Amino acid sequence: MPFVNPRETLDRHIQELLDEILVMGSMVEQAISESVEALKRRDINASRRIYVEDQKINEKHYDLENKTLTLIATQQPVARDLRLLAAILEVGTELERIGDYAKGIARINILMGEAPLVKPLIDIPRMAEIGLNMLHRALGAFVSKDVETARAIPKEDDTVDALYNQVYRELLTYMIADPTTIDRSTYLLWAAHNLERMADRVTNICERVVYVVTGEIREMDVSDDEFASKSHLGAPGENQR
Amino acid sequence: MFNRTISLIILPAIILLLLATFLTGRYAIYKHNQLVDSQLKRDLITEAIILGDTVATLVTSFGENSKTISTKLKAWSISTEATITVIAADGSIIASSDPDNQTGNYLNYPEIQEAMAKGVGTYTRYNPSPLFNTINIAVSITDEGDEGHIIGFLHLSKNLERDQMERDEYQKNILTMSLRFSLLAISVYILFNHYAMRPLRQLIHETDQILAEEGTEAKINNEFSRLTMLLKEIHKKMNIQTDQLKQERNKLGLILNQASDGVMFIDQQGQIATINLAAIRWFETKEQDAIGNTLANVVRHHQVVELWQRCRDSGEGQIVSFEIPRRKMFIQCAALPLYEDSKKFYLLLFRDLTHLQRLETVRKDFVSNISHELRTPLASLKALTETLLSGAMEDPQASRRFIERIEMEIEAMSRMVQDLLELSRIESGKAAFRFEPTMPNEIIYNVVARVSHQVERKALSLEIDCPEDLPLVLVDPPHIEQVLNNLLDNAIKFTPSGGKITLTARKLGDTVVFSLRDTGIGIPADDLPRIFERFYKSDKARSSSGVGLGLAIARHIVEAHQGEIHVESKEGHGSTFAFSVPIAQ
Repeated sequence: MPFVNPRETLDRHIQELLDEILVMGSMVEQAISESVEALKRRDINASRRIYVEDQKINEKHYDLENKTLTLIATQQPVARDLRLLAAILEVGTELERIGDYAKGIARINILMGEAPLVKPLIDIPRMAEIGLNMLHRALGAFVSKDVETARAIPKEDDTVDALYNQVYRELLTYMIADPTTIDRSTYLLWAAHNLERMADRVTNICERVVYVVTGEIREMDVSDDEFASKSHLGAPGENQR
Repeated sequence: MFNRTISLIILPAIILLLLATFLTGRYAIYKHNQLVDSQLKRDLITEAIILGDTVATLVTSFGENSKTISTKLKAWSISTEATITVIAADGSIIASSDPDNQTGNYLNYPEIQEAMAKGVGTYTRYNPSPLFNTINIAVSITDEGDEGHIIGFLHLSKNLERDQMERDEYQKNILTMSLRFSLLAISVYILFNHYAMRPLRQLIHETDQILAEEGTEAKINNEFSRLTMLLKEIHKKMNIQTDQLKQERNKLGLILNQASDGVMFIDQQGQIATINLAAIRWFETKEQDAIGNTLANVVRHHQVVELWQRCRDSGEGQIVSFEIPRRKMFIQCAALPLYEDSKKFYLLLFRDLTHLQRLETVRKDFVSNISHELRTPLASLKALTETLLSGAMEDPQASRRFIERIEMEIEAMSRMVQDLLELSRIESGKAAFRFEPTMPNEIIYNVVARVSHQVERKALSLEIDCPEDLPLVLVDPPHIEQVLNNLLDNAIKFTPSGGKITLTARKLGDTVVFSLRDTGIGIPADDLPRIFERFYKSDKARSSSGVGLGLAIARHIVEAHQGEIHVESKEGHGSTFAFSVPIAQ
């Protein structure tokens, strides 16, 4: 048996784990995308499918954790490799949470049943689109250790937050105008909230990229000053980690 | 064995060997002759001196003409094998071992002269016939006194015949032996060469065989030139083959890159070995980023990665379908294992089924739409007839009302069926269009008249802007009126109360463009590209009636007029539909 360079083995295993992150990311992206689509179309069956498919995402996460921990135990990496593996564990967790958000949106669709939407969905799908775009690029940056991209993405979180505020205000007016819509409006608000949280989690992933490369943890919440300077008219749930 | 080139190598060696041997032999013979010569002379001179002394004593004792001297001379002649002659100081013969040699004068003989001067004289006398070659030695005999003047000479003459024979014998021996040894050496050399040159001969033999196979003319005598020629042939062939391979690869690359399907080759580790242009486009990557990268990294769709994994684990072909939401594409991917020697490769084929899927969706929507549209009137009809049968028939007024409603429902269904038929006719080109030059405002007037009632009922304002000086247009009036009618219907349907509809006609190039703007609910951006599809309805809640054919019919009619129809809309802010028809020339 020829001597195999341990460095090569470690690199290869890390590459496999990164591939797993991408695969899991793709599953999560699809889940979010489909859950919002199903909500738009009021397709209950599709939502049920997504609800069940979440199990697969959880299994993937569990599998990823196992593999990562095994690698840490057997290879005992140090410095950047260790940070990377720790980051992989973190990102896996973030992805699993985002998967839960998709499941949440699917559940909302099922709960609303036959009742029509209070308003045609425009902002919510837009939030999903931006968030998914952020997630897609963030995962790409994570795998290729692209610090520049990772630093640029969190700024887009502002757009998502702004859309969330808009949705909140609009739904509020609906609720005030017609109290019978409170139920459905709250569901939609919750769906929007999930998407806002997704964008926050993507920002976390971006922080991890910087951490792996530079060894620093730096909060990349760009709009902190907005909350501090303005009065409380921002929606609750904004700028939470 | 008689190889020209090899002979050329061996021959000089052999020649030089022979030459060396020959020259050595000649030299040996020459030196030997010299040696023998000097040896012989020395011996004879020594003998002569000794005999000379003895003769001097004898002459002193017995006088010159003594028989003793003759006897002695004869005896000496036998032992020395030479003719001995005693010569007086004047050159005359005193005595000789040869009885025939009694007269003559030796004084002028070179050896005597030399002896007179130096005491010893030698001279070799050559006769034409070698038998008589003699070597002559003369030694001067001096008296005892201090002066030592010559009293006579002793002359020795030896026949060189035997000596010559011995020399010849010797020469023959030398030459024979040297020739023998040379031949032996040459034989060994040739033999040795034969074995040493075997690889070279083999090489030349193979060369000739290959050249013969190739059918190449090899009339060149020099084997190494043939070898060179073969090498050149091989080199040329190799270049041709390389070029051919390159061409093949380019051709294949061209085919791959022109293919409308995406193609990827994946290796056992999941890394991309080859990717074609279609795949690069669809997955928004670059060739240099993709090659050597993992499938997951490039494709970012878990279905594809899982598909490949299933294919790898099962060793069988697999298929999966998935969406690329960003590009709104529906892709089918097939994974196939390939085996090349011991290496495993996987072929991934991506087929764009977006169009097919869209058609499928259209069909599904159509079926569901039709059934929905039919269900409602049919349900009404059923209820109405049931009510009639179960007693309402008895009441004439009620009957009348019911039957009128039945008529309405049937009317609605007929209209729908008629629309369908109309559309089908137009699409299959069976509808007859009769074009005639028409005034644009006439078209508008006819249509507006028909819908003014609806406009009023819904409290909408309809504004018409149609200049008087618009040119005549080449249209089929009833059909084009239908287009405008459908558009107006939609505008009325989708604009809430209090809204405004604006109908404009303008000249544009060699067409006249009719545009209809409303302040209605607008059309979502996602629906805009599909709005002219058959049965496509924008509001999925199906809160409006109609089966979704109006715009499809309108589009076909406009296109049959060689015109174009467009829409601009923003959700919540109304829509503008516009179509163009050609001016009558």
